[in-house]
Formats: sequence, structure tokens, C-alpha cells
Amino acid sequence: MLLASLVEPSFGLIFWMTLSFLAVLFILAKFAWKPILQGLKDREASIADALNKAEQARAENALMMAKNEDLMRQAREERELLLKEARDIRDKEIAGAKAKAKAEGDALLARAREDIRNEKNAAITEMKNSVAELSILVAERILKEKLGDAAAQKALVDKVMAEADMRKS
Amino acid sequence: MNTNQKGTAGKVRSGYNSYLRFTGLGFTMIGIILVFCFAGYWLDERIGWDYPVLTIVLSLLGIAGSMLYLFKETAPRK
Amino acid sequence: MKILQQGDPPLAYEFYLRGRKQGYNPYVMSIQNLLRTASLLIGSLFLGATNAQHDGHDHGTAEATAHTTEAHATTAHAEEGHVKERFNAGKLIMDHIGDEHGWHLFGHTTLPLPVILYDTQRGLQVFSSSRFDHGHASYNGYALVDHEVVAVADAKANGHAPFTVDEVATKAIWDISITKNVLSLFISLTVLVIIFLTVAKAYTRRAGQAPAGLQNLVEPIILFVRDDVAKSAIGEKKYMKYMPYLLTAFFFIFLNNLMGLVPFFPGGANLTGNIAVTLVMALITFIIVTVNGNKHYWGHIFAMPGVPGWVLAILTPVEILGMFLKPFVLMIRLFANITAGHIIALSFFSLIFVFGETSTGAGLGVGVFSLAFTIFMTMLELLVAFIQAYVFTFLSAMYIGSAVEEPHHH
Repeated sequence: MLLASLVEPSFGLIFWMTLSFLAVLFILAKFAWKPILQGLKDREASIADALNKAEQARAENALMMAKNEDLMRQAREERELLLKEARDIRDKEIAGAKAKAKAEGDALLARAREDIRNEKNAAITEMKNSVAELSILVAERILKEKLGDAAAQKALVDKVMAEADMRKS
Repeated sequence: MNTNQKGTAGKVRSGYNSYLRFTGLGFTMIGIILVFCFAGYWLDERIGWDYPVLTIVLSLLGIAGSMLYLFKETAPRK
Repeated sequence: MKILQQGDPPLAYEFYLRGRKQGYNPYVMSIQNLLRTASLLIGSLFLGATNAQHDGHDHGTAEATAHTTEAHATTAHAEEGHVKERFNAGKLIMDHIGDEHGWHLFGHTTLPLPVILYDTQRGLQVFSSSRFDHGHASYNGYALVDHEVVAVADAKANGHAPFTVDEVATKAIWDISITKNVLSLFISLTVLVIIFLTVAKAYTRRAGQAPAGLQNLVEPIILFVRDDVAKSAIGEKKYMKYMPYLLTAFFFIFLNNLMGLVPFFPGGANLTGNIAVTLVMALITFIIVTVNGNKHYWGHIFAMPGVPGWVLAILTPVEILGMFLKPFVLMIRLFANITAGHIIALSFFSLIFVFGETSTGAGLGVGVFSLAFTIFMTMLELLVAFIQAYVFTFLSAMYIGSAVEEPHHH
């Protein structure tokens, strides 16, 4: 039967298979599998190493970052402090200057007022004098031209004086 | 697939690999029964008794043996 | 188209005869015959299996084992057109999955291979397989009967079939010829050596760098064998020692499974589906296990700890049997899977010709489906090629793993 020949191993093939397979196994084991497996192992080791190193670097970096952060925070705080101080000083200065300016202004104003008052008084006095002179002049003219009696002159003088007073106040 | 890889080195991982362990079991069990049967038959022929006692006894032993083998192989590994 | 001669492949020859019988001029073939011959030619190319050796009758297999090979005698009648040779799918399949002296390449061309015999009576004999003339002629007292070298009665004559087989002298022959399978074995092993020496060079030259080219192709598989087979089945500590064998076995099986799927010359042999090959591989696994088995392993075989004596009386023989049955199963599984796959694919393919015998229309109609199915089966076989290589390697590794396993402290 052909099926029987199928399951019956032939001597020749067993012979050659054993011989050549073992030879190839030996060759490959020595010249192929050894370097390949070693190469794979080395590469894996180097990759693992690189990964480790990267991890380490990352950790170091993180540490540095934290440190930097800290420094930055400190610097910021210092700056804040300085700024605050500066602001305070400025504020104080401004306040001082304001006060001084106000005082000076006030003094100036006061003096101005005094001057104005003095001027006014002087002006009033001068006006009074000139009014009186004018009055005398007027009176003189009236007296000279129109008025013959004293009574009438007096009445007129009073009237004029009253008017002048009213205008003054 | 890779979840079990670490830590359990040397153990067969769960998943498709563990099923493969059992693929040869059926063949082996049949083989055990057959070998026992043939051994009994051969012995009976040699001895030449009228009644094939050994064939029967050894076939039964073969079945028992294959069962034992099954239990042993499928028992969880300690 | 040249005039066909005796010794040409039987199928083409048959149509030649049929044509002549029906009164056709062999030079002017009808369209029908042309179509059929073309499809047969493609078929024979595709399968690499319609070998030139032919029995010429339907029931030759049983009688061929008889002492005088009447099978070959009828070949002469076929020539006279008495026997109408029919397409024999079983023979085609068996020829394909079997072994032969000489490798049918294409059409009428067969590559002759060296026949090497060690005859315990006559010493070493080496000659070309073409001397046998596809089983028609004897040479130097040897002849081919049913693809096997036998000694014929009249050692001197270079006679023609039928032969009278000399049974006693045949027993003295150790046939170590370079057959189709042996040549295929050499080719595949050479390919393996070339591939992996190249890859190994790449690993030393490009140490530490990412894989490139061929390296890229095999590295995932190497890693697969290392991590998913060896490490997982043997263990992290001891796997390294067995890696060379596991890798060689894996790639040998895988490559030969693939080559078996290629229908033309360097492929086409059914090496991993040959029991002699799987036998040797299983035997190597068995030897590795037996040599490396530790105290724990042998202890579990001969005296399973924690088992009462009367159970041990059954269990110990069973375990000893199991020790041999495991590699036996390994051998059978690979052989049966690959051979079965080939038989199924070839059967579907043969359907074309079986139906083609009844009518060309039926042949073409079935051919479409058959071809689709053959392609599907081939795709499946590609998957099987990998799976069977994996299964063989993994079970070998499991088996080795059980032998070198350290006792657990419990």
C-alpha cells in the first residue's frame, strides 16, 4: 500500500537528515545563533542602559528644575519685597511733598490774601481821599456857581457823601 | 500577553501557551492504552491460554494508567 | 508540438493516443485537446508532481508489490492503445507527497539525481537515476519498483520491465540516494546557513544598532522563539543552552513548510510531511531531554513522590511509556498535519481533472471553484506552516523544560 510507504521512514532520508541537520545545527549554533543571541542581548542591555540613563537624567533634570523653581520663587519674593519697600518710600515721599506743597501754597495764598486786603484798604483809602477831593472840588464848583446859601450847600454835601458811602460798601 | 512575563520566569504563561501543553495529551493517552493492549495480546499469544486474560487485564490497566496520566499532567503545578 | 514518445508524462501521452485513436492528426490538435493539454501542463507545473514514471493501469498499487511487476508490463500495452489511462488523483497526490529518485521539474524534464547504494554484498554503488529510465530499465542489477530500488534477478543485464525482484539481494541494499527529498533537505539547509550567517554578520557589524534588511525579517521570529517559546517553557535560567536547537528546529520546519507550498522546483518536496524527517527531529528532542534530565525529572518518572506503592505499579510503566510517546506524538503531529494539508489542497486541485475527464465544461466549471478552494487552502497552509513550526518547537521546549525543571520547595 502507498499509505504504508508514507508512514514508513526511509533509511536514506533518516541517514541524510541526521547527518546534515546535525551539521547545520552545529554550524548555526557556533557561527550564527551565538553572535545573533549575543547581539540581541547586548543591544537589549544597551537599550536598557540607555533607558536607565535617560531616567536618571530625567530625575536629575527634575531636581534641577525644582531647584531653579525654588531660586526663582526666592528671587520673586525678594523683588516683591523690594518693590513694596520702594512703593512705601515713594508713597511717603509723595505724601511729604504733597504736605509741603500744600503748606507752601497755603502760606502763599495767605500772603496773597493779606496783600489783596492791604491793597484793597489802600485803594479804599485812596478812593476815599480822591472822593473827598472830588467832593471838595464839586462842592467848590457848586459853591462857586450855584449855591448861595450854606444850608443848601450842606444838604448837598451830605447827600453826596451818603451816596459815596453807599457805593463804597 | 506580556503582563505575566515578568516575575513568573520559568512558569508557563497563561494564554495560548498553556493550552498547547495539553495538545499531545489525547495522543499520549491513546498510545498508552494501545501499548498496554498490545502487550497483553502479545503475552497471551506467548502463553497460549484459551482465554485472553492478560489482554483484558492489561487493557483495563492501560485505561486506568492513561487516566492517572491525565490527572498527573493536568494537575496544577506546585 | 513535437511528436510524443514513450516515456513522456502519462497524461500528455494519453491525449496524444486518444487523439490518434479518434483519427486526429497529432500535429493539428483540436481546440478541446489544446485546452486540456494546456491545463494539464499548468497543472503539472503547479504541482510539480505528474512525474514521468507511470504504471499505466488503475489498480497497479496493490500488484506493484508483487515479485514480478506486471504494472510495468502493461506500460507496453498502453503504448498500443489497449489500456485507456485515466487521471489518477490518488497517484498524483501520493507522488507529490512521497519521495522519488529524480526530480520532475516541468513538462517532460526530470532532473536526474545520484543513486547511492550501499550493497552489503557488492559494496558502494553510485550512478545517475536517469539510468532507471523512470522505472522502465534496470541498471547494473538494480531497478526501480514503486519508487524503491530493488535488486533484480539477472544482475548483469540492463533489462527492461517487467523485472524479477531478487528479494534476498534487495535486503542487502542500503539506499542512501540523493532523492528529491534529500536534495530539498540540502537546499533548505543551505538556505538556512546562508540566511543566518548573513544575519549573524549583520549583528556583529552593526552591533547595538537597529536591525536592517534581512535582520528585520528574522529578528521578530528569533525574539518570538526566545521569549514565547524558550523562556516561557524552559525558564529564564536555563533556556540559553537549548536556544540553538530550538531556533534551528523552528526555522528548519518553517522554511520547509513554506517550500512545500511552492509548487515548482526548489520547493514542492514534502519534507516536513515526511516521517523520516520528523522522526529525526523528534529523536533529537528525545536525546536532548534524556541527556539533560535531572534527578527531579527521573524521580518523577520512576517514583512519583507522594504516590502510594500500588498506584506507582501502574504509574511508573505509564510514565516510562509517556517518555517515549511524547516525542512519538511530536513526530506524528508534524508529519500528519503537513501531509494532510497537502493532500487536501491537492485533492481540491485534482477535482478539476477528475471532472475534466467527463467533460471539458464540467472541468472548467469545477476548476473555478476548485482553484479558489486550492488558493484558500494554500493561504491556510501558510498559517499552518508557522503554527506547526511553533507547536513543534514549543512542545520540544516544554518537554525539555520538564526535564531540567528544578524541584519546587513546597
